[in-house]
Amino acid sequence: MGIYYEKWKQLMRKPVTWLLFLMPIAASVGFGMLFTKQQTELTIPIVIVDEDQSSTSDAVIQGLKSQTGLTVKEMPASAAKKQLLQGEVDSVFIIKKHFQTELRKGKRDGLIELWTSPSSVAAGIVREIAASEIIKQTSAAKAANKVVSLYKQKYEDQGERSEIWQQAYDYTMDQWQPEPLMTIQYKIGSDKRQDTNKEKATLLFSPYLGLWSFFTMLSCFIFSDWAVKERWTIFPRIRASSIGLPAYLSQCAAAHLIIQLIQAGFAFVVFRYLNVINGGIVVFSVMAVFVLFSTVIGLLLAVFHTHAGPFYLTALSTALLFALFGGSFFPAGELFSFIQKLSEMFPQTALAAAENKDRLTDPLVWESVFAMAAVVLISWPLIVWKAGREYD
Amino acid sequence: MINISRLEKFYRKKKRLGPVNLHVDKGEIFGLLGPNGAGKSTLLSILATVSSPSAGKVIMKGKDITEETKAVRPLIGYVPQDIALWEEMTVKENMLFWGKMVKRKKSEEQLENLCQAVQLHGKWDEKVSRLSGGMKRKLNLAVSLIHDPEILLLDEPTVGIDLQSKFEINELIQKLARDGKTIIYITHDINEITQLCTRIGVLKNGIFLFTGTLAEAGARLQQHGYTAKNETEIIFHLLKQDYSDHEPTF
Ligand SMILES: Nc1ncnc2c1ncn2[C@@H]1O[C@H](COP(=O)(O)OP(=O)(O)OP(=O)(O)O)[C@@H](O)[C@H]1O
Ligand SMILES: [Mg+2]
Repeated sequence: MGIYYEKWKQLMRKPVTWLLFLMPIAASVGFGMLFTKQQTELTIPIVIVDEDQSSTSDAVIQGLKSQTGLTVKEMPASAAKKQLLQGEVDSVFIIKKHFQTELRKGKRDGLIELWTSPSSVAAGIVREIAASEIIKQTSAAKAANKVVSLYKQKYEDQGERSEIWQQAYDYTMDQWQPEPLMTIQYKIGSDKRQDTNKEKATLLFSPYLGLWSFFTMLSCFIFSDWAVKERWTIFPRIRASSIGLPAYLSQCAAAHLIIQLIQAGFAFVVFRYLNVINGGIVVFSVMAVFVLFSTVIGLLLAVFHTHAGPFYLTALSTALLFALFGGSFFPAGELFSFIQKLSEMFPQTALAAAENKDRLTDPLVWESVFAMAAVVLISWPLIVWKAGREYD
Repeated sequence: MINISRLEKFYRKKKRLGPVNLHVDKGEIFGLLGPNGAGKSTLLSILATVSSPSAGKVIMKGKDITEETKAVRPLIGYVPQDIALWEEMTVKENMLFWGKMVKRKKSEEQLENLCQAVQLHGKWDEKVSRLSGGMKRKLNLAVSLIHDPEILLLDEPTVGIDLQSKFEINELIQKLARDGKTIIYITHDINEITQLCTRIGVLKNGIFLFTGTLAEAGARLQQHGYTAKNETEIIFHLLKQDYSDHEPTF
């Protein structure tokens, strides 16, 4: 225990420790912000001309506005036309007068007019979004119409009964919350394995956590350079001393690990504060396991090197490989399907899965965590063996 | 105290040492000499349990070093040929850190006194990277003495140390021997060989050409028809001889 603490104190005094401590969090927040900023800049500008000015047309507009990937502006038809001709907007949607009343009668067609430029990329998407919004609205309206007519039949009431209509309408609209259709998990009749693969394909990785995983791995790797530097100087003498090399290695590794664990905790708190990741303690637990994994792999790389220069090179390229295949920067599996299977074996999958599922019991999470733990357990004896071998 | 029998060491199938037979008694300062690459450091690192022998046996204080490594290590103080210190730490931090590696714990004051004993004065709070080469050697030596080891294995501990300090360190080593420590001392320094060592061994190509006192060496040389006017010449002849055609004659 004494060595662990001495080493820790020794590390805390070195500026490079602080650099490596701050690097993952600073880089992931910095690049993460850049990354997400670019994402919002990549939206498609569209214009809505609201001739109806009703609550229903407003609901459609709000629905479109809530779509990421679109920038929705409202303006009169003349201005919209001008913008379209100047190529400043992708397409123009005109919500015709009497949109609400027609809709509530159950009529769907010809209520929205669409102008597109020849180079339009968004028309298809927007048409879909608008259509789904209209279907929502018309379905609710139809349901409300039916409820009112049933009510009138039953109680032989001939009044307006608009409050009943509204209640039925609101109730039906509520059934679409929070998001219609897209979040329903389809289970197509097939074996279980394929099912989970389908889910894996849609894992969304927060860019912050993805970047953190890369920079943390790199930081842990570089942090392991002591094993290269001490190899020919300190290690022989350690072997001759009472404590022995395995104990020294594990205590030094523990001191380094603790610092990286604090780093992970710090990063987690910052991410939560910035509200850029989903998930709670499960995500942090997986981050901690990831740090352990990276530290041990870093040591493994270190004991197979005799010079610091080549070690740093290997460290960087290994971290990059892990990041690319593991999906730290972008979901690798979605680019090439053959990488998909490979990608699932990388530890980043555990982070992404933890963020999406937020349950340790989810197979995607614990399988990955288990795999990392297994690699750690296999690597450790290899590290001890290799570190001591060179003198034989 | 130290009993070495038919010890051999191979590096990648190439024999670098042995067969070596040697006995070193308690209180002796055994000088290990020989040309560069003779295998001196290799022999010492095996004795220090840093590398393991390819064949043969080493018994220290009745314990086999390969079978009872854990029990042997506390007995050994090893000064490796390459300086084994943390450059970015101070003298004090180095001493404290190495002090943690041993079973018998020492107070900070005792550690500071040890630095004084190896003539490292006034550098307690200095970073090792700022020390001169000789000062680093002194600290390198001090570290091996922290746990009061019974056996000292010193691989060129005084290289680059100024004459005055070397003289004092030699005195210290002699005192340690008088106190009953067993010392194996690798050196290329003619004065240390003649003044400090009680017995010497000449290693060449991994085998001993000679083991014994300088007086014995002189007598043997005469038997072989060499004349040596002084101890320096004895050593000169010992090292010059190439006995590789036959088993060592003495
Ligand atoms: N780790 C190793 N791997 C391969 N060969 C080695 C290793 N260590 C030493 N050798 C070889 O073993 C031989 C003996 O080396 P050793 O360091 O014991 O010599 P030495 O007598 O201490 O020399 P010097 O006086 O220069 O210190 C040399 O030929 C050296 O190249
Ligand atoms: Mg040597």
